[in-house]
Amino acid sequence: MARKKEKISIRILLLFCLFGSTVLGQKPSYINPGLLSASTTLSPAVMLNRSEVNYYVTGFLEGRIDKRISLRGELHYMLGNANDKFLKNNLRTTFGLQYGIPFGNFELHAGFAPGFSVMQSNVDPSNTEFVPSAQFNVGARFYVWKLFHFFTNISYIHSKMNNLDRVNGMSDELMFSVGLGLNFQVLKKYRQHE
Amino acid sequence: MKVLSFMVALCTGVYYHYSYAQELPIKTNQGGLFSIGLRSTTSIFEHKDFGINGFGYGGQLRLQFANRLNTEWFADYMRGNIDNLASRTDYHVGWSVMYYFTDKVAPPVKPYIIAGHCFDKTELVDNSDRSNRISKNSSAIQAGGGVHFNITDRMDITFVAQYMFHLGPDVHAHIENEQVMLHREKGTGIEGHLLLNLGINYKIADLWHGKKKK
Repeated sequence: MARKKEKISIRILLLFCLFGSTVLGQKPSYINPGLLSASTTLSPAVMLNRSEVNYYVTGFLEGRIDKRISLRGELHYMLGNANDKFLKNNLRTTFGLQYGIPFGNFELHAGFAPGFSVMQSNVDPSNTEFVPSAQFNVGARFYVWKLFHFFTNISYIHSKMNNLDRVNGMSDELMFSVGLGLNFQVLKKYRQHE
Repeated sequence: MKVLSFMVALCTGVYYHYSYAQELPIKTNQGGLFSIGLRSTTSIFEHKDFGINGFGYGGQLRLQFANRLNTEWFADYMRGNIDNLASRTDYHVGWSVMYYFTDKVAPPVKPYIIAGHCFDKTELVDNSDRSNRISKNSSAIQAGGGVHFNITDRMDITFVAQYMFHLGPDVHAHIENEQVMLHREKGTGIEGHLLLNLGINYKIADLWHGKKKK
């Protein structure tokens, strides 16, 4: 009886694998040059020099110029933090490069992007600073359809306020993002295969 | 239409006809290759009198003259801090000549040496009294080495280390009894700092060989 159950289980597993591989095999590849991706999401950011968390609304626009390479611009707008901590306001933009390793429609990627921030601290709200920034990120995304993908991303962002009197203005953050993204293939020759 | 395509490429990274992602055609030699890029700049050398410990943002254009000779035209904006009592802002605009050790267009790793000239403006501001400020204009020379990591024929990640000598009147800040003292020295002196750049760059066009013969 036990052997029969085992055989049935193995057959079901084989059928599932066969079905799965067939489905995966038939799935079109969405990761191609010309793929535009964009999204907006909410992102918490842990400050690395202070035990504080800031909350951002973040957005990105990314254009793929090669199977593995894309150019990506990001915009981060700080919504606030728990108890009026170090940062009062922050608006940041970055523009850089992403390098991806695709596995079918799933992709691991990493990137670098120089940028700048306009920052204001609760230490001295009268001081608004233009601050050069740099971002390093790693992430994963799964293109589930020609118009949608799921993504997750972790970014290290360096920035430092310099005009604060007798206060260390180091404002490095580790930002976490998860969400649903939109994507669209702008090149006809790849759109036909979708 | 080409201008429009170029603007779209700048905004989205995707060229209208996808030609930017294609292999880079080289006719006769690499002279005329034109590229644009962005970079982060770090000054890691803290000079006590000069008060440099900065981080900045910049961009560059490159125009290649020959297989082994390239030129870079750059601008950087850097912000630094002096013991959290004063801030320093540097503006750099300049150019450099790059000499490659290989004729290959885009090997995975392409090292080079670099030297050039730069105009700069430096501004020091007291954090406790923003009206207490001092600035100077000067020129500088820089030299060092770098390496392109070519990830496609057209795109590279570049790391450069350069030492920059500033020639001109010196401004500096020092702290006395927790008060910021800003000084301008008379005469000309030389001060220097180490600059590290990490940037991305994209070859847009071959300006000299790009036109098709009719």
